[in-house]
Amino acid sequence: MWGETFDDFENDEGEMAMAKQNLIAEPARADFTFAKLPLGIQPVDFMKTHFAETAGKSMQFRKGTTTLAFVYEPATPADKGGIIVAVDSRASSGEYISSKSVMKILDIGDRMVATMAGGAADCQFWTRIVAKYCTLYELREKTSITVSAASKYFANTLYGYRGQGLSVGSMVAGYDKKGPQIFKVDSEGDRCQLKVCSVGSGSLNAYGILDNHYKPKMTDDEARKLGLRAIMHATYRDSGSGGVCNLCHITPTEKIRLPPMDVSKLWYEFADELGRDITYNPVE
Amino acid sequence: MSIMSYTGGTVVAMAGDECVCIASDLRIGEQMTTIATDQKKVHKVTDKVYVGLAGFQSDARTVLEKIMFRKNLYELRENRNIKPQVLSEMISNLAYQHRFGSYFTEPLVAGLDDTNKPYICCMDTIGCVSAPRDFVAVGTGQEYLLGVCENFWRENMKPDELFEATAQSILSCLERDAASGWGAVVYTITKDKVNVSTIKARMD
Repeated sequence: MWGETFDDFENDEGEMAMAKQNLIAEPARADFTFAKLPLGIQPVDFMKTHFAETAGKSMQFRKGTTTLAFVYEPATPADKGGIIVAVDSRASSGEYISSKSVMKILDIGDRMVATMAGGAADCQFWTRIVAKYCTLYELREKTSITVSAASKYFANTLYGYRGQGLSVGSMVAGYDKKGPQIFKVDSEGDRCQLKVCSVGSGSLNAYGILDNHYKPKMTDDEARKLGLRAIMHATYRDSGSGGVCNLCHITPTEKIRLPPMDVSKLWYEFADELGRDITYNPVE
Repeated sequence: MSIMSYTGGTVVAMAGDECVCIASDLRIGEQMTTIATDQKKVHKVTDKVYVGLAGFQSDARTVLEKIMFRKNLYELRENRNIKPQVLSEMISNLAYQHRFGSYFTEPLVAGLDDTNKPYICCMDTIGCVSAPRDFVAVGTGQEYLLGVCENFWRENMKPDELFEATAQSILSCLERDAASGWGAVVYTITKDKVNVSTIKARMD
């Protein structure tokens, strides 16, 4: 079966029709069967009992995040414009920092990414499913999927599990035939298109910087610096966020992943820039 | 989230050869939000005795006032400086008086007695004293600290070694505890002087 092409059925029209049906069928909607709890036990109650804050650290899921993305147009012909996606890298369970180097920008295709906020496992698993769907779509339709379609598939999938305790807050961002686009998708089933967007425990802090300094037209350098700065300030105020800032720039032609930047280092540079004296002098 | 980790914060103390070190972080928060980064949790009681108060900082302030009040009365009555052993007993009594509605703070005492012997102790919210000879820690980073201190502590450390061990221990703790951090302050208490140093830490 594997490795067969249409050439193998060329001679017989009946076989050809059959082969087409078998090989170009639309993939079924991902309907997973997850292990079920015994009858009478509600999944949400079960999770609360065994995985909430009252449980040990190792039983809690990884959470706490700042992620942001925005669309901008090039200010000069020398700039590329597109989308900036910036995220922190901390995973925490309560006040315990379980990882300092999580990659929260997940690839969906060559031109699309999804960000990760909320339950880390939920995000990783479901974006993998979306990525699979997008790849199959591209093979079948011989054209890349739009951000709109991918995010809608994502949102519909999450909606199917609504009320069962999934925790996902993701931004699907990318470039397609319609241009640069960002869709915010969450586990409540919500999906909305935005130009400027931030998700996670530090999102309000990030919005503070973003709303203040965002312009629809920026140079590439300006835009990248804005993303970095918003993440840096969010990690400073929000104890759920920290580590390094991972940044992805999606231009009309390519997807550029920038090297991770230590947010603490960025903060000290920022304080230097201001000339603010940050040395603490205790007084008796 | 528990009230004990509402404001966050960590205090650690280590004993050396005729010297003690006591250190705290500088963060004060409201759950996940950092409010200020210049709040030390270590307070001077006498020249050679310091107290650290971790936990809910509103209660910690109140308790500190009560400690100072009792200590001042003691010194007036006895006309001599209070010893760390006596102070810890006093704080323990104070804490146990609130057995059925305790302050949400864990006190820690570090200092040198009149023979310059180091004394360190910590207690729970209702005054159960434990005074080991090596190191003590209280606050949201207690578990991380006890682990690293076990590795850094050596018998009879001199003041500079002791400072290094304490500073490295608290910095390691701040790497993993989200509720503490944003800088630290270390007090090295020796028989003739107290050395205060602020340490830069990660600001996230």
